[in-house]
Amino acid sequence: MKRFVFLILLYGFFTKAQSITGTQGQFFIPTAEMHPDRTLVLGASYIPEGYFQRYDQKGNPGMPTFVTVTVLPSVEIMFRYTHELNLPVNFETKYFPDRMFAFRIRLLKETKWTPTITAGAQDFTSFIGLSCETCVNYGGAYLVLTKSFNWNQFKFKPTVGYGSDVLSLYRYDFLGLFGGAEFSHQSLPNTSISLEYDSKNIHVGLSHTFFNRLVLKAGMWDLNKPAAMIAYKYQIW
Amino acid sequence: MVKRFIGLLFFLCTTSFVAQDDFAKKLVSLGYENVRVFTKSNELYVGYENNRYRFEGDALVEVLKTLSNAKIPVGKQTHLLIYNTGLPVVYFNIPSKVLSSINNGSYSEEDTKSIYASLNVDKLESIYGAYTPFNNSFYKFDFQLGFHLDYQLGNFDNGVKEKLYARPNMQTVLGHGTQLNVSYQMVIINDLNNQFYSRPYMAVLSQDFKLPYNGFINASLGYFQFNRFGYNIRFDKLLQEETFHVSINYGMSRYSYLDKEVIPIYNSNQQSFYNATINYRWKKHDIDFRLNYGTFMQNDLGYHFSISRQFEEKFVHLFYKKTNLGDVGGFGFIATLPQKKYLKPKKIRARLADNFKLNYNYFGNSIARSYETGPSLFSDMKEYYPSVLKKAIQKRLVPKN
Repeated sequence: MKRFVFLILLYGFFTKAQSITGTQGQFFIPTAEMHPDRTLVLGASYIPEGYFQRYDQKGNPGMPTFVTVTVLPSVEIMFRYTHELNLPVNFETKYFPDRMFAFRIRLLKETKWTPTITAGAQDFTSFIGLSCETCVNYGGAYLVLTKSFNWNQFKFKPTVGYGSDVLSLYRYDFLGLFGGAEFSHQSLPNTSISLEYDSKNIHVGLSHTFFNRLVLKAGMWDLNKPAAMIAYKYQIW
Repeated sequence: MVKRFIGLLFFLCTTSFVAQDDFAKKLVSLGYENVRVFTKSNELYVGYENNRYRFEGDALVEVLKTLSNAKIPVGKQTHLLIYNTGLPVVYFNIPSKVLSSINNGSYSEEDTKSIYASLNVDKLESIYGAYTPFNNSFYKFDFQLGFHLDYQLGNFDNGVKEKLYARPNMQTVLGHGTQLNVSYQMVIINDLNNQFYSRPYMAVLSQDFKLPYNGFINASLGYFQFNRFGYNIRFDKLLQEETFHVSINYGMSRYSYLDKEVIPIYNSNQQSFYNATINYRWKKHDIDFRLNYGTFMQNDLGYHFSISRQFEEKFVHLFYKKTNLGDVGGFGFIATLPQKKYLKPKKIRARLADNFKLNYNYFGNSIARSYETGPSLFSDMKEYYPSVLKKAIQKRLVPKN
């Protein structure tokens, strides 16, 4: 019976991962993969104190809360409110959670010989004049490539990307070269470990998807402090 | 010999008639209304209206399964006409091979392709009109419970201010396309303003007309959304099935509502509204690109552009509005409440409302607002689009590996 319950917990179709930022990705960096068309993801994550940043301040941990929808088979939109923990909303602090959009489009789907290629942008509303220039906290404009390789019973999924300053954003999550790799074993297809460099820090993460829907992710930010994410995802119909 | 032949013919006709009658009774027992089942030129004709399932696709699949299990001798094809408020909306031509595939569990994408579906129902209307329907949908009272949320974000005294209402609603169909809708508003949570009292919300009498060549007219009168009292007339036309949609709307109303003692409160200034819409639907992904131009509630003149994707009975959309008062942009969704199947329609029935709507303004103020003018045939139309229903059939009937 215990074995049966264990197998149910491990069973699943969605092997594609969800990053802490809210878009499809490894631990923190985006990957080029997309969720299946019509997938809705609701989630929240925890970024440790000293690494969570808002307006050049790093005094508190942070909690991004997000909703992500794959609105077309190759288009993903994410909306996020990023909360700075331990900071109440009142007239004294003048604090209110930061909001942002992310938009990703898959340019090429993975084939036997070619990787998946995706272009994405996040927290870019200052570029189109919808928010002030210095309001950007988690900017990014990137091109990212992901390719899967199978070896014996292992799956190896490297990702490499480049964050550009083409949108002239004030602050960036990804600027310059970033990349990483995700590993999983055929016997545990919904479990993976990842190691990555986000253009500033190195992270290691462990991820598991329960019942095809509930994604839990935990890891060490900059190999130093714990970070985590929980997300619920399903296809809208 | 002749006697035997006549006897055999009589036996077959009687068997067929009994089977048709049983099938009609079965549809009624499942909760379908305005049911018509008859044969003409050796082909089976079926008509029904669904007020049982939340999504028309679920209702259609149930009818197809029931039909495939019924022992009705049918010709090469079965004609299926779906009604809404007693008006015909969409037609399906189902080859007998498709019913066999459903019956033996071998339904495939090829079967979906072989089904013909159209919103052009003019010719069928007169054929079906000659037969009296079983289980009429008129004069039945639906008591629906819905919810609405108003909210304001960003104030430092209270970061998220909200006002949650329960909106019980009574709806009945009085005749072909004639609906009466009365709703009441009760405040459940309120930290947005100091209006805590409950009061009547909307009271609308509306009439829909189905015109030839996919034209629709809706006329409504009464107390509308956002405290407007007056009348509204709308003309909708579909071109190339659901690919293009154009509409023209004219309304005249004044600020008015019924207070908690059901006494009319009003402002004598009349205001007229007019606007036109053009919509293109990308059928492959059920995406609408919609542009609306005209006057809005604050007497502002401008346009409203939106892109929305339909997920069966759910919707997500992005919008941008610009008028002489400014501009606003954001996104929203329409989600269904968790009830896929309602109780069978009786004289009086209780159920949850169809959906819950919420919009989020990413930037800009609350401009380019319009008010709802009660139920109409066209407001439900997207669930009847042939492309949507065919996808629903495909999804539900193709065996999962």
